[in-house]
Parts: sequence; structure tokens; C-alpha cells
Amino acid sequence: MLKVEEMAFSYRRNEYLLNKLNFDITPGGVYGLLGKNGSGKSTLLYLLTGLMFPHIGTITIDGVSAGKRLPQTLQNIYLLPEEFDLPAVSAERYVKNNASFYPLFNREQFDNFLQIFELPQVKDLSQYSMGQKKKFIVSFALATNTPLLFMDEPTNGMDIPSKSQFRKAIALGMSDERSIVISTHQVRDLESMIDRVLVLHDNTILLNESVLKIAEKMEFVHTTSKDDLQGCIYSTFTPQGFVGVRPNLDGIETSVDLEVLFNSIITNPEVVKSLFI
Amino acid sequence: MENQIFSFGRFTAYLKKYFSENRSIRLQLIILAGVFGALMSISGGSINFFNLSAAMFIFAIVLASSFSAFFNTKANKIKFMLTPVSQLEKFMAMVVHLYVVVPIMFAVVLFIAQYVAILVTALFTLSMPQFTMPYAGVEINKELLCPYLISYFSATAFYLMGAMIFTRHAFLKTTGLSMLLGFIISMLVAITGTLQLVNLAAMERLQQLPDTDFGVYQNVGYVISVIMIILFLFIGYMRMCEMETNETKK
Repeated sequence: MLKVEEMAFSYRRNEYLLNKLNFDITPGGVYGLLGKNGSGKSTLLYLLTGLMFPHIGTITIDGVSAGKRLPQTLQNIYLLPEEFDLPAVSAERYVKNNASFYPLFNREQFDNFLQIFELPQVKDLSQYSMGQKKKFIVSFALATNTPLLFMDEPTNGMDIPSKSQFRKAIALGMSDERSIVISTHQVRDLESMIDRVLVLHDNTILLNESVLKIAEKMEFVHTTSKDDLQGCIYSTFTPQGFVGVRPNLDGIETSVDLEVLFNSIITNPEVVKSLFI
Repeated sequence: MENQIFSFGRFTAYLKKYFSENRSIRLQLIILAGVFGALMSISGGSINFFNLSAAMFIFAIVLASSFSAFFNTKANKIKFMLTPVSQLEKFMAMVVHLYVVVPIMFAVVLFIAQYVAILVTALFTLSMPQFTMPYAGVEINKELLCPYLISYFSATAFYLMGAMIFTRHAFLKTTGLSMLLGFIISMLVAITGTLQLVNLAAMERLQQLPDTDFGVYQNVGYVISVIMIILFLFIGYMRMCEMETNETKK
């Protein structure tokens, strides 16, 4: 569906923010795009949606360059940016104005998402608070049913109950024909819903693996005794005790701790990468 | 498969969205009707061609510059660029706004303003309102109409191009650019004219020149203006197609 080949991008001459990226996004999965602040997550999303053009390489959606911004491509993608603005129109008018551009838009689903987020009815969308606006736009984005949905820091500005509503909405909005790419540095918000992890670090994708494969190859340790951390490629102390990760030699699968995984990758990239060869 | 460059259905859907989300049009209509109504009341129920064309001209170039608002923040730019219609349709919506909606808007405004002026005059003179034919108080100078339309279309095309190039302070920057270009062109004209005079060498030869047909010069001017309109629109369109999100830091 979406193919990135040998893609490179830089803001400054000869200083690549993203270099030689190669990966595919195939239908049916929630992708977690993880990376430090300034690692290029938002830039990558803009490149994938054709809002910016790669300096080297190609990005194609169903074989068509994303940068062409053809209607056929645009109606198959939806980007929810970190910052956005809603027009001063009613919710009904907003749907009437925008839904017709997305052939798979489902009104029933949209109403259902609004209910999940417990959004009150207002005359004008500008009356919503920032968090409510985010919930509204998330509901619309999910109801478009575009095969590719990109979300940039979607849980920013959401309170604790809203985050669980968000997870519920994502689960309901997911289908086998659709991929959702969520860029975030708040890994805890997404832990239970990610199917595949993309880690962006040092100008490249360091890891692009499914959560199942990660659980198969890596063992996540939560312990109160430091002695249990033997063989860990990364470990740290938390108020609850010690957490660490090591190669999974026993074949017993543990639940993936995204924060530990991310830290292990950026501290020992070569060791982690070698586990997946 | 639907045409990827232009589809009438998609374009009309986009126009509906465009004008529905652009609420300022209604406000502009009311303000303009009020201003023209006041102007007509003061000048005895009529408005001259100069005032009318100047108002429409200024309104249109300010409006054309305001299209830079689609790109002045990252959020606006993303919303605009990712709306699933072709780039041509997005650009055409702006052109339709300038070249179709604004003239219609002025026609509506003048229609309302005339009756506002009649009612206001009647109110202040404490007499019965003297209703006349619609647009009876609107002066149209037929000789100047064609040059005015040409200058209207070329100036708005220039300011539309400016809005696509300068995403901030588009009006000021485009005005600056037009002054700079105007200066360069007038310098070129002056230099060419001087060189021509030098080449002709003697005033006697100048006197032998046949009578100048200004109609031909006027037509050449129109053709050049039409070419310039197309060029400005083309540059604006190409610039819009090549726009990227990272150009806006905010």
C-alpha cells in the first residue's frame, strides 16, 4: 500500500534528518512510530502524506507518488496533525462539507465515535475546548475509513479518561483493510493497541517489527532484585523496582514494554538489530 | 476512474465547502452594502464609475492577498493541501471567487445600496421614497469599462500569484514587488524610447513618421495584459503545487 524506498530528506544541505529509509506499510495494523523529540517523526509523516518531497528516493501510495497529491491518493489517506484548526461551522455542516471527499466515510460510525468520546452537541465547532476539538477530529478521521490514517501525537491534550476512550475508538475504527500510523513519544498511551513498532533514531528506521516478533525475540523483565537482570541489554530502576530487556532464550513470551524497548534500541542499536536478523 | 485533474462533481463539492467555511463573505456583503449605501446617499442617490471601480479594485486585490491565509500556519496548510481534490480545482476555486463571485457580489451590493440610499434620503428629507429602476444610480463608463476589466483581472491575478509566493504579509510584499516591477518596466521603456530617439537621429525624421494609430497600441496592450494574466495565474498555480509544509515554521 505505502512504499518507502531509499528515501532521504534534509532541512540543511548535506545534513540528512532522514537517510536511506526503506519500509512498507501494509493493510491491517496499528503502527507505532516512536522516536525522540526532533528525531523527524512529524517530518516523516509529512513526507508519507505528500506534504513534503523527499530529496532522494521515492514514497508511493498504491504505486502513485505521494507528492503528486492526486485526489485518488488524498481520498485514501487522512493525516491528523498535532496542531489543527476547525472551521466555525456546526458539526453537521462540517460533515456535509468534508465527508463527500472520502468515499468510505461512515456516518453511523462517526456518531458512535462521538458517543464514545462523550462529546456534547454544540452549535459551532469553535465552541469546543482544545481537547474536545481533538476528540471531534479523531472521530471524523476514524469514520473516513481511509486505508491509511496517520496521527501525529493524537493523545496530546487529552485527559486520562479521554486516553482510554481514544484506545476504544481506535480498536473500533480498525479493520483488516486499514493501517493506522500513530506517531508519539508517549509510548504508555499506546502500549495495548500497537501491532507493529517503527523506531526512528539517528536519521533512520532502527526497528520495524511486529509486537509478536518482538515478544518472541526479546524478554522483558520486571523485578525487585537486581540479580534477575543478568544478560539484559538494557535495564533501569523505577519506583516499582527494576525493568530490563534481554534476548529471549527460553521462548517464553512476555508482554512488550515499549518504553524499555525504545530505550534499549537507542542505547544498544546494534545488539537489538542483531536479534532480528 | 474519476479524472484526477478536473471533475465537475468534485469541484462543485469543493466550492460548497470553500464558501460554506468562508463566513466572512456575508459580513463583507453587509459592510459593502452599507458603505455604498452611505456613499450613494451623500452623492444624491448615485455613484460614479471611478469610485465604484476603485472600491471593487481595492477590495479584490486585498481579497486575492488574503488567500495566503490558506498557507500562513502549518495547520491551515495541511488542511488545504490534503483536501482530496486536485490542485487545479483548489486554485480554480480562488479564481472563481475573484472573477465570478466578487463581481456578482458587487452587483448585489449595488442593488441593495441603491434602495438603502433611497430609504435613507427619504428618511432625512421626510418625504416619500422615490423608487427608481435597479442600478439607475450606477454610472458605467463604457469607454473605460474594457481597460478597467483588463486591469482588474491582471491586478487580481498578480496579487493571487503574490499570495501563493508570500505566505505572510502578502499584500504589502506583493505591492512592493509590483512597485519594483513597475519601476524596472518604466526604466526599460524610458531607455528603449531614448535609444529609439537616438537611432532616429534627427527630429525631421520623426516628423516624417506616419500618423500613429492608437487603437493598434491599445489592442497590443490588451493582448499583452491577457498574456500577463495567464502568466501570473500559471506561476501562482505552479507555486501552489510545489508548496511544502516545512516552509511554515509556525
